[in-house]
Formats: sequence, structure tokens, C-alpha cells
Amino acid sequence: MVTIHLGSVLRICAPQLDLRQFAEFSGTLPELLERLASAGGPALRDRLLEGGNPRRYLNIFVDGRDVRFLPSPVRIGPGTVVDLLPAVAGG
Amino acid sequence: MTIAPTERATEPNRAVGPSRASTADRVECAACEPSASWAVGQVCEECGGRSEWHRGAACPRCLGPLVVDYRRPDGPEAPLPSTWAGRPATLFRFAELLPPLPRPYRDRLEFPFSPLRRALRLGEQLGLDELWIKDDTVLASGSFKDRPAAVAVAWAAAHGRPWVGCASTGNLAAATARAAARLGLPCIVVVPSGLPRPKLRIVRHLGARILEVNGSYDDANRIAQLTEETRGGGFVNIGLRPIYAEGSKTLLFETWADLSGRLPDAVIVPLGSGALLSATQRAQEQLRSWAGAPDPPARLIGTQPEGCSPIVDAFERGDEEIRPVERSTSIAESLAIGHPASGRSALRAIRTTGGLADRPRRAEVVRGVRELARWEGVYSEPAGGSVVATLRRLREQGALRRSDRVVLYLTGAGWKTPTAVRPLGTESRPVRVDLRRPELDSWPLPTDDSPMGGSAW
Repeated sequence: MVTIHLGSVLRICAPQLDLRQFAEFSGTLPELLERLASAGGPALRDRLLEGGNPRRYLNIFVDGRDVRFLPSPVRIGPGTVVDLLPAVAGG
Repeated sequence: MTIAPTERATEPNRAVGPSRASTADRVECAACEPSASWAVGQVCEECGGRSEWHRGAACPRCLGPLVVDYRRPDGPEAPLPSTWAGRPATLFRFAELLPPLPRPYRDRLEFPFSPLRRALRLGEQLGLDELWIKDDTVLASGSFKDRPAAVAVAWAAAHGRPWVGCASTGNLAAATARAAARLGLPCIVVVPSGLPRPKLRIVRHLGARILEVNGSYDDANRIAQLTEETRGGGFVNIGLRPIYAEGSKTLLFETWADLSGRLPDAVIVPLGSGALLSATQRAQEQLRSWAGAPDPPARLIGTQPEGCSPIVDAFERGDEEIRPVERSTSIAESLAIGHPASGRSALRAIRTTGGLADRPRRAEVVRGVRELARWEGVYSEPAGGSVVATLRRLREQGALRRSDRVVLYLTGAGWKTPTAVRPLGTESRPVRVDLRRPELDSWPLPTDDSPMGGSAW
């Protein structure tokens, strides 16, 4: 099962979005983001993606690792935990 | 306690230069009033979108970092310098340019100015006529983090947050735990494993719960962020970050006041997340706009030792983008933030003011710590050594002139990182004295011939 955590600033853009629909997802991270954006509507899409790429201030962690440090393409499948959080913490 | 309902961001409208706020623009929050603060809400550092209070720390439009937005109120007001001069020399003297903090909470935190010391011996050694040390090593928990923690914890208490917390490399943990203890709030700190034991010991004494993450500071940050998302409370440097970051402006406010209303020519600031340098820039812009601080602004110089220096790396590339560092080997663990949240705004501030970003080597940082101790009597953690190392390098390169008025921010005490830098040489070792035969003539009196020179370095 894929587990997705959306930060609250993202969740309020798509309050009706049921993340359980992605539980059986299998594919790459860009594919997952596209599926999330499609299911969540234009407001969520706008917060996730900028020109087709993840926004600068969006931090994506897969199984606790920042995807910036993972080799592409990042695979998502059963047991994967994905955190999507604004990059505001720190210091 | 009632908190004002949150609303969506309004249209982008960057807050630049002096402006005035009508009554309708003022903060509307029962917990925040009455207040002297000129804060009117929050504004995104990236897109300029304005948002209301209590929105958290991320721009609801672009996810960029939010900062507090201020405007001078309508109507006749006494000039800020004269208003401030009539108040005690505490952090809260500058209430107009801080978030609204109700008196019962801020008064319980008692927060006197830290010293601005003239660094005569260090200045003489490095060829500077007017060198100053802003010495935050003497603050209650041993670091400048007492400032932002005081502001954020007071705000959290006033707004009925059931507990506070932070992600920390140690200094903020102690500062948050201390402020929470003063105000009677439970506290949780999330730290990476492997911190110096003294940094954890003080936090344990102060009564905070410690979550030790088996990873880096950035890993601890992620756990703290998820904890706040799922368990509520108020993490001072996450959900309360815009409020928290304002406290760091007071280093420059105090420096300006102690220099009789003048700005320095340059300030050398340690870089971790970049938040302190960004706050320093906001502070000087506000002083210039509203308190008559003269032109030009101080050049802001950032320092970040080798081993984890993503902001300096970007500066040297001439880039606006920060490339995160996953694992640090820095001697200064308090600055080892691989993915600095305020890195871009710190870069902008450095470039806007004609400043520089510098990456001293490890040995230079060690030397800086020793020089501060032996020449100025300040025992600093490695962040302070990095500041001195950068000062030395810039003097040798000619990037700072002898006549420049330079202020060094010393942000953390050395007793918290006792193993980071060894005391130098045999003369620092204790002389063993036998109780019955003390042989008082057997050892030489100490001299002032420099233990700094020669091959010891």
C-alpha cells in the first residue's frame, strides 16, 4: 500500500481528495504527482507543479529521503511512504 | 481562545519601502490586541502574495516562505527613535516592528539587550579601527536563539497553543525549552542524533521532551513538520516560523541603538538556514524606512564553514538556486543545514547590500574560536570562529577597509560544544600542584606572548 502525506497547506486546496485511491499505485514519482494533480483539481495542481516540474518550495520525501538525493526515476509501489510538504521549516 | 478565521491569500503586492496602514489593515485578532505592533499580516518572500495572520508559514499560493508584513499606521505618531528611547533596553523596546505580543507573556520573558563590545585586541590584530562584537553568547540559554524563541513562544502562549516545539541542532532546543518553561508551556524538541551532550543536558534540565532522530538536521526537521501536521501544537521554526524569524531582527535593532542610531558598514553573520541574515536585512530596511537610519545600508556578509555550505556555494556560482547538501561534515553543527529554508532570501540580501558569502576552512574556524577566546575573552562555538575566520580572510583580500565599522555576530557559546575545538598547547593544561610540597617557583608565570602564532596552527 502506498501512503501519502499531504501538508495542510496542500490539503486545503483539495479537501475532498481521498488519498486512499492511490493505495495500489505503482509507477514513477512524476506519474504519481500527475495523478494527484488530476484527482485534486486545478488548485492542487498549481501548488504541486510549475511548468510540469515540482514547485521550488515543495519538498518531496520518499521513504524519508529527499527525492533531490535519489536517482531518477524514483519508483513508487507497495509499502512506499510519500510526504509532500512545503519547504518552510528550518533554522 | 478565539482565533481569527483564516482566508485565502490576496493579490500579490510586494511590501517595499515605507507605507501607511489604515485602521482596517491592522491585525484583527483578540489575542493580539491591544498592541503597539505595526504588523498587518504576512507576505510571501517569493511571490509577494499577502495573507492573513494564522496562516502558517507557507504561502498558500506558491508555498514560498511567509514573513511578517508591517505598515506605519495612519495619523500622527512620534518618531520611532524617540518612542523607543523612552522604553527599557529590552528586546521588546522595538514592539512596533515585532509581531503583536501581549504584555503578560512578553513581560515574563525579561529580555535585556546583549552587549555590543568593542573588540580592541582583535581589531588591532586584523587592522580594523572600529570592530565590534554583538555578543549573544551571554544570553540565558547560550545562543541568539533566545530571541526568536521568546517571540514565538510568547505568541504561542497568547494564542492558546497547548504546547510548543522545534527542530534543532541544539541551540534552538534550549532556547525554546527555556521560554516554554518561563511561560508554563510543555515543549517538544526534535534533534538529530550525535549532538554534543551539553546541548541535550540543558534541554533535559529545562523539562522538554526530546525526540532524537537517527539522521541529519534536515531529517529531524521533516519529523518535526510531520509531528506538527498530525499532533498540532506550535513548532516555533515550522508553523510559527514567520513570527519566530522576527525575533532575530533585534540583534540589528540593538546594535543600531547602541551605535547611537548608526548602522555599521558591514555585519558578518553566520549562515545556517539563512534566516538570521534575512532578518538582519529586513531590520535594516525597516530602520531606514521608519527610524531614520542613514544610507547606505550595512553590507551583509555571510559565513558558512566548509563541509556544509549550500548558500555560499550558490553565491559563488552566481546562482539564485540552492543545491541542497545531504550529509554535513562541517565543524559547526549549528550551521549544518543542508536545505536552508531562507537560503534564497539570504542570497538576495547579500547581493542587494553589496555583501559577500565566504566559506572558511576547518582550521581557520578553529583559529577563529581561539582568537576570540584569547584576544577578546569570548568563548564561542565554531559559528563564531567562522565569523572571525571570514573577517580575517576579507581583510587579507582587501574586501574590508581599515576604516570600516564592522560588527561580528557571535551567536552561540562555546561551553555548549566543548569538544569542537581543543584548547591550544601545553600552557592551557593544568599545572599539578602537590598539597604538601607545592613548589611555587617551579612553573613560569603566564605571558601574553601569543599562543596563536608559530606552527601551532
